[in-house]
Amino acid sequence: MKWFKFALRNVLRNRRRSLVTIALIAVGAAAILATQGFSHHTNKMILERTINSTGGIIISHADFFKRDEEKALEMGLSDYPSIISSLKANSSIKHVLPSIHFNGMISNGDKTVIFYGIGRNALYFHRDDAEINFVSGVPLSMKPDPNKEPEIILGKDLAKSLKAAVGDSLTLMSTTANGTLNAIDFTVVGTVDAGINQLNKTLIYTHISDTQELLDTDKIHTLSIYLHDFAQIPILLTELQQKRPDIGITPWSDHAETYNKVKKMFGSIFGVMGIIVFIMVAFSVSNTMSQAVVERTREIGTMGALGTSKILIITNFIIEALIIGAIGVAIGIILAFMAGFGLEILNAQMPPGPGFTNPYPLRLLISASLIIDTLISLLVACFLASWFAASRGVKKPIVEALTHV
Amino acid sequence: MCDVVSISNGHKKYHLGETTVQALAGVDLNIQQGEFVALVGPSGSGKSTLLNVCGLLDTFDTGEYQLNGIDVHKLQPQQLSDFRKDNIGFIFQSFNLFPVMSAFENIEYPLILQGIPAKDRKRQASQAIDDVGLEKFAYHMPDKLSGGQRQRVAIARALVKQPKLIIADEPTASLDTDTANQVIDLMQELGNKKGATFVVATHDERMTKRCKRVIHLIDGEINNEMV
Repeated sequence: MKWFKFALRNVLRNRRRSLVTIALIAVGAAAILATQGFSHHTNKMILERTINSTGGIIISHADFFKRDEEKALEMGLSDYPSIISSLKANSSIKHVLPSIHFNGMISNGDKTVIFYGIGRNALYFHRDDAEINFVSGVPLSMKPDPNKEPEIILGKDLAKSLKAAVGDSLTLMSTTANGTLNAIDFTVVGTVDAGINQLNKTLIYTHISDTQELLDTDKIHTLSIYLHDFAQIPILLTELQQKRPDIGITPWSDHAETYNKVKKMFGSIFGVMGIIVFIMVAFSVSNTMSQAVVERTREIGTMGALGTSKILIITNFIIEALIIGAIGVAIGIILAFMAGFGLEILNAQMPPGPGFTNPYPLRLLISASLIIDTLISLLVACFLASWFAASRGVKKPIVEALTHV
Repeated sequence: MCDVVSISNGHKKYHLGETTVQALAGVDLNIQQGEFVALVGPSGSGKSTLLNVCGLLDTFDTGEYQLNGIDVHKLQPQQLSDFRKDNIGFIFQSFNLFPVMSAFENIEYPLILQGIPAKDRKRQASQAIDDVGLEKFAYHMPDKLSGGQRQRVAIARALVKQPKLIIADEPTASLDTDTANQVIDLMQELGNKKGATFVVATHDERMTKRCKRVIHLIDGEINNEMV
């Protein structure tokens, strides 16, 4: 406590220099917290959206994600009703929804274009937390009328290309599981913005049963498991993988290309920035402590003469640097929270990324672990810089230090 | 009385650029416990070097040095530091008080280094500050004290751990005559009271007149002694 008190007084001794260093550390800490906070928020947002779309765990044929199918549903699951039944008892599971991924041609009679289709259970659209951005119309019906044409939802640009609106009839053509061509007429019930330009030009959603009819199959491609709590994903994943080693049971992250790319990109950009801030802080603290060491050479000599060990002298300078660092980081934390609050109030938005259609909220997710990581990393910078500066100071012989002017 | 300082054939050279300076050339010196010894001589005579060696701030190139019966010339730097911490007090011309510590904390500092428990430390530091008559100024910072008061604090800091040897480098040089006399009185009084041995490097006649033993150094050798 005594050493801390003396170190604090030394920090206050040259207030202007200490304040400049504290300000620099504060700006550095705020920069790290703001950029990492933005990165964490964006990653979390994409993670939640991805899991909301694909489910937390995906069950498929063992080879479905490993190679392309030569025939439709060649690598489909036929025993999926029994898998769904076996999962119903698990209370951590909210929904288990099947899907079929297929493609073919879609025509309005005048124009024919290719599509990428997903056959889904209507419940997918009616979930409480479903995040589907309808431009027009409604989701697929929970209980479709068997006397009416099957329902279809189009990507907004595909609808535009085909000049299709809600209520219009379109024909889907695709190759069946047997390799023959099949066609069925569908009625447009809605158009959606998938958030990705390329997807909006080709995407269609159809009922799983209608898709099976079009493809002449009773199989599906995947079962998506939606859980109440994301934290349960790894536990259930391990459990299912042990129970059914014969089928493909994979986590959402294996198929979240966008999430993985964004995370990697932010990690690289902001990681480099963090290193730059670390070096900047280290140099600043080193400069401050070097000046202090030179100014206090005679004091260092006196301490040495009185029998103070070199380690203790260095420790005193390190404590001073850590005080400066801790105050700087504390101010940086306040600045970062103020910035985050300001962005919230202003409802600031980031422009859509390349290939995406929608802006996304510019928010900072400043977690306790991020604060602790920032504090530790900048204190390490202060520690190393002050240790380096003070070590050089104590190397001077005591007799020389005592006569230093 | 036993010897506190026992130096035999001490040699020390300095290299200033390409020039070699013989700072000490075969010094033999014995100082008994409780003595108050002045080292005098012109600049370059070697008195500061001898004082630094006596205080274990420097070492001989050759020669032997026993301090309180211990062959200190054989000790490693960290051992020398520990030895100074426990056995030697220092008084400097410019006082060399720590500016961020109060008078009391400056006096307490050597006891902190020795790891003395807080309660005992406070008691000993209080006694030391009383001894130099500065109890009213205990919590003043050094920049709020006069030169004489600062030197009194330095004396208290040197004596508080009851060292065997006190090294004083021009302790009165920065003080006016009255204050210098008071400081000399105080050093001698406390030296007698505590049984401490003083080795004082000085140019100051006010000091040398009051010392029972004065050692003259010229060109690194002891020229004569007045007792």
